[in-house]
Amino acid sequence: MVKMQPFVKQWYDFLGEDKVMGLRCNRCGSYEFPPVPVCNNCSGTDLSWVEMSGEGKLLTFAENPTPDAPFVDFAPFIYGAVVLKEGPTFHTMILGVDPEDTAALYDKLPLSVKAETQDRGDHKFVVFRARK
Amino acid sequence: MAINIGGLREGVSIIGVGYTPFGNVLETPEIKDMTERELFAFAALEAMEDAGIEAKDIDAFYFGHAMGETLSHQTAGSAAVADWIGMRNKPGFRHDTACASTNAGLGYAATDIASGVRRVVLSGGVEITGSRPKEGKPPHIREPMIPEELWFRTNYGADQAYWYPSGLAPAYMLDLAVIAYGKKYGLTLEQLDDALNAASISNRRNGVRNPKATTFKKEFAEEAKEHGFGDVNEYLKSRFNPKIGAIARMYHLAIPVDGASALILCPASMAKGLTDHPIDVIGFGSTANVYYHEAELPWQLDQGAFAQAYEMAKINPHKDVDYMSIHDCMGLQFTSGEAAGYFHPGEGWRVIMEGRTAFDGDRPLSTTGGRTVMGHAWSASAGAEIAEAVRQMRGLCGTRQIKPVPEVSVIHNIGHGAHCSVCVLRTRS
Repeated sequence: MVKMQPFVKQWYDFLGEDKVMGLRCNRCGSYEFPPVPVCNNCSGTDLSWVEMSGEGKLLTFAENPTPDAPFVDFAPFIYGAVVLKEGPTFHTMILGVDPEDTAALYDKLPLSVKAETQDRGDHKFVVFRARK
Repeated sequence: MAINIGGLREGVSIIGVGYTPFGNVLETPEIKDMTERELFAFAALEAMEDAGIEAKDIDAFYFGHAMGETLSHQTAGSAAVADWIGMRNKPGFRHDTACASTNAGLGYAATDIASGVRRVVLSGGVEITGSRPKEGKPPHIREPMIPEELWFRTNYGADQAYWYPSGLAPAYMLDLAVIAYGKKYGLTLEQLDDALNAASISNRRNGVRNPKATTFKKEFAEEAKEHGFGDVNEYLKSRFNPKIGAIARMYHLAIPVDGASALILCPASMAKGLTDHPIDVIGFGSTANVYYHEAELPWQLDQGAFAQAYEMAKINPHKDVDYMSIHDCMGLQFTSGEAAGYFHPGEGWRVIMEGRTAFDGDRPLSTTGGRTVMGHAWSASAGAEIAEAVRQMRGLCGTRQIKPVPEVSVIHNIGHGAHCSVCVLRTRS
């Protein structure tokens, strides 16, 4: 029987400690990021929490001049698709790039990025920052 | 992961289609003051008339209404609309795969029929995106909805645990897809802008010839002249078509509208007795994933749904498809069009630049005008696009008729979340 756990709360609790965590499948070795209780590669349910390297490549991006209300404090920002070193892809805010100069960012793709946490008041979220 | 694809145990045909004019119930004369009930009823009754049957002949219905709770203050809406289509006390089910709903709904209906459980099934949907009922009031008492609120509520379709908190952008999907395409094939940002604007020109050429597309009545060339531009491309790069993303411009994106659509399906063996021109459903497929798994093209979402549909239909998309409808709310004509096999890899943007995707081109796309011209009524749009394909295959599309009349059509839809549904239709020979 798989042990029930509050994965969402656990992930956010880790982010609150500035830890970017995922799950590694103990059967096939692939990663679930963000965490879900079953491996989407091999269907295994024996997964362990691991700290992600935070290393990734920004492959493509969007500009967000007028975000929804919860994100207006961060506007304007670049939003992008990052493939993590461990395999999973995730979309989130990209920091350390000029949102006004999307042509320069287009030329730099794929761009090395590193995960960090962003304070949202009552929780933290994972974002990526362009490597210098 | 691969899935098992079973064939239909009995052939299934579309025998009737209907959709309302797409517009705004606060102002468009054809649909003014109507609620979700009237819109769905008139689409359904049009489909029944088209099929030459009545409500008493239909065994069950599917009702796509993605935004029931959030925009219409109505959950479990199949009960609310059953009377309106003459199907009180029959099986009726509301469902939601966002903007792919009425394409997915065709698959539900076809599965019911092929299993032998039901014979005649109506599948349709409705959405009102420009206004909403006032809290606690009957639904004809409405107030306009500002776009920010529409998008906020539409984003309930995004996973709220991990995806929505990432800071979704309104035009995110266009930018992500088109920039990925440009990097894959070595295109400049200007070439991508030109390709998207060329798509706008062909879409508008299609849409102004569709009487049910009520929002735009002029081709871009004429509109450009009125604004003092001799060159339509300059007009589409001007302040009249402002950028609202890294690549996305105003006319590249869907315009939210109100409308409804309905399709009627029955066993292929029964269809011949009802219509001279049955259109067979020969394949369908669907995928669900949280969209943050997508980066490189082709998307897994598209690949999976197309592969399922083509395997069931036993067609070669590179040579067998005469008409393609790509979900174009966010400029996906060349990215998803290539995933569909309708364009060779890396060539879709060029085919669009050459104007070949209008109704009179050799690679016609979305002859309703698509979501940027006819507009996008969330759950209802896919059904209208399937209805358009059926009418094209029957040769009934007047001044926007594809020639020669298409015999195999593929309709692709992406719903927020994300969901992808694809269906393949073929004219009975």
